[in-house]
Amino acid sequence: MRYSRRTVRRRLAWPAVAVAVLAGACGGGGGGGGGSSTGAGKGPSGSMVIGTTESLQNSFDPAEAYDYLGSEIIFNTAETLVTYAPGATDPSPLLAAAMPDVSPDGLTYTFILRAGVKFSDGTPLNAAAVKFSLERAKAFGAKDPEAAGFLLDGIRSVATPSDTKVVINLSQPNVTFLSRLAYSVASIVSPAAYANNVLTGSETGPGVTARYKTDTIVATGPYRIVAYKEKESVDLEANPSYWGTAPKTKRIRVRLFDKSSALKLALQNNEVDVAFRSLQPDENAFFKGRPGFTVVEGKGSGIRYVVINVKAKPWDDVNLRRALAAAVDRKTIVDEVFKGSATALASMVPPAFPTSEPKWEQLYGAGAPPPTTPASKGAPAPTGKTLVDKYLSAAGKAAGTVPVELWYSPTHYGDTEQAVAEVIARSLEKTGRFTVKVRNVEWAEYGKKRKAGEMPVFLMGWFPDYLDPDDYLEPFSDPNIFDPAKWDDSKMAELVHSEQHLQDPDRRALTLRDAQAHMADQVPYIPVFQAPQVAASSDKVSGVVLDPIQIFRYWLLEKKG
Amino acid sequence: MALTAPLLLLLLTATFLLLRVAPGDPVTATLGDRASDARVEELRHSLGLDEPLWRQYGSYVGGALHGDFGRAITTGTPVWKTIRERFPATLELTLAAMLVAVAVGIGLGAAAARYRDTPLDVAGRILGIVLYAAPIFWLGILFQLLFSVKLHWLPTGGRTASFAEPRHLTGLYTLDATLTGNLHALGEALRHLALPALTLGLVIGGVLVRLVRVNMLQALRSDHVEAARARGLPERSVVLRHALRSALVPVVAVVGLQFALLLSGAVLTEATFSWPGLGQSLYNFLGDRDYTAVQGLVTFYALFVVFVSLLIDVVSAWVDPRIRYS
Repeated sequence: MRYSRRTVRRRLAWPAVAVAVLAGACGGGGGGGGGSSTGAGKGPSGSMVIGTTESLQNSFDPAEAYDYLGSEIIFNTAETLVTYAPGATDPSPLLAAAMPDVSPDGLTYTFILRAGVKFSDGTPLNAAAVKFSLERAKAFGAKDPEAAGFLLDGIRSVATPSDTKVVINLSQPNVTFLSRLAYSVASIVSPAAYANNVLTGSETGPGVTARYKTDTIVATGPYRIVAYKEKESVDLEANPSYWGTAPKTKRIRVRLFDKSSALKLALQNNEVDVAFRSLQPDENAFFKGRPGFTVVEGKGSGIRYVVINVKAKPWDDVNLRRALAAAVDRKTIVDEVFKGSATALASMVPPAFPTSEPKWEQLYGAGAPPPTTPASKGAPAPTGKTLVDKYLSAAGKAAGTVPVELWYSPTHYGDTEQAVAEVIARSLEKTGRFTVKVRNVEWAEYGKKRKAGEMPVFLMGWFPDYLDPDDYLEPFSDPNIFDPAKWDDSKMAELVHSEQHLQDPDRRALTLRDAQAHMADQVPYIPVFQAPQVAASSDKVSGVVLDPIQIFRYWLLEKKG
Repeated sequence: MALTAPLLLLLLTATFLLLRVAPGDPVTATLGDRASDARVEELRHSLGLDEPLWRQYGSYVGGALHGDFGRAITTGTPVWKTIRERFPATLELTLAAMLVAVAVGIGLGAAAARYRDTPLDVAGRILGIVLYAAPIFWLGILFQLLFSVKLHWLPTGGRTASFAEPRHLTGLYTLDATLTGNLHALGEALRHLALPALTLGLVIGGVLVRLVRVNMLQALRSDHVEAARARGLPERSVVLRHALRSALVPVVAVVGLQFALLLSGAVLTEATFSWPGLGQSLYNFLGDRDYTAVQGLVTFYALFVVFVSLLIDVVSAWVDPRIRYS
């Protein structure tokens, strides 16, 4: 049969119309904000693309956000009363005009607010907005244990004697309070924009989370969110009513990648300008020294450690835990897996803090190689093997081997995790006293198993909320906060409680050291290593500042040419 | 069509059961490490995950029948919203890949048949097998390394360059850019579409090469083609107008069936090229064991395949009047 061209065209037109109608129907949602058509080439002048493998865990609401990406976006779109300047380890004023007056008993903090600051919705910053934001976040924290609001639970009341004066009263003195105020949870948001996003008191469960303002943020920061596409991108543009120095780049797109390999290719092909958090060590090494690219390294604040479930047999025996600690070879992990770029940890409190006490190394050596800190002056340093035998004998296992089931999650902490687990397993077996079975499971199941206590020995990581040694001790001593090792120790709880309340820095330092010594002695955790923060970028990009504060400051980034 | 409803029900049931058998827990994935047992139980209760399996199943099938796919457990986003936002990307990729597959399949298949037992035929057949056997992610990575990293011709992934999205009309970037006359956006959308479509299209094209070749060989030996030759028509006209046309009738039906294969291939292609489509969402939701989202997306995929099959049946009947459906 022969068809006329008109007939064919008519017949072909139907499927085309059907497809167009289907596409139209599917596309009706607006694509989550979409982007606008602007500029030419790889983006308009004054734009930058940041690639990351992070994804948003919950929302952009400061009262809820408790993850890397959420906090990072909040740090660039909102501001707190105090913050950390690049490289600083002590807070400095931001929305506060000066550092607060603190009462001698450490219970009252009085702030005077900076003048002339406006939210991105045009409403002014005042004392009422500070009271609203802090009380709002605290209220969410009381109802939603997964939210960051618990960091503000020490606030008893917030008073506003005037439009520019805020008085915060604490229920107990807490020397970490200013550090907590610098975290994204204490960001000040516009009361007008969040009027419907407060708790009335009767909400429970999903009713609480339904009150968050999830997809945008209205605050005073250098940028504002213009679009968010789930697991795809976040678009920011400079806040036109920003009170401070304008950001150096007008538009920022944060592109979210599933895999570091895709992010690496995108940077290599100039589709992203900066790759941050996280390329793998070998991918970062690829860009090091390569023409057209630059790699910036900064001290990290996250730590990686081994958890020993102290309730699981036979690990309820402290001497067995000590033997395990003596066998873990941190140096080989750093050398083999991270090519020397990571730092071996001798305490749960990283060495960046003056109060860090290398107790694990002092007690258990550095693993297979001789320890760097002698246990006692003049005496030869014990080797890992000697210590393993000593503690196993004390546990009644003078001969034979102890089976260890070592768990890790293969993707959550990056592609290096398997290698880390294998090196640990090898170092344990090298002593001839442990037989290791390495097992892994994806993160969703990993969390479930951890909570159920089904993993006796496993790898974990901790990334602090605020920059203070306390945040490396309290979560591991309070079962109400985080309880991976099932370790409920009254002495540890008391030590942490004391250091939080001691106003005298010297006495506090002493208590912090005692707390580390006690934790090392009981060994529910074995600190292993600390990886640096690394950003790889086009060499046209400047302004990348990486410091332990974990604020990636977009407003300093600039692209030339 | 009579089998459509039971097949859909079977698919829904299999998806429901497989997700619950697989290790992992969406509640833990949602709440993270610090969640208290009480909070976990609370969320489990609010999601109905503490109910007996049969009741969960009934609620799921009932919802699906009413077009209610619920909200993703891990993100709280309505599943329909994810479909609305992400499906245009998958549809665009699938259609472009189908174009590549048809062009490669018909072109190579017809040429191989026309020049039977020549080196061109052998090469075409081998290429067909190789393409069909090639893992999508392997071919995709190979293309990325060659065209993006080595030659810098094409981007490694994404739907378009940053800040180059066309104004939203249908969600198909190439169509939206054309309709709005935004040539820059059209160029960027096509550049980004090229490698994923080529990867997916070549794999599917491998199937079509062999099919077209076999049909074409039969057609070239058929009476009506011999008659055309006897009438003294030029060989080009005989091959293209007479042999190829009749050889394509069964191919149209197979192309429709390949849509299901294309959609499953799109999951891997999207993951390889960071293509923000429904396949990538499915991949992510599977990782989080997000029952609701996975069930919703799989049901949608199934309905879409049914829709396309129906469309192909109608087109086949139009193209070949001998085809009649009771």
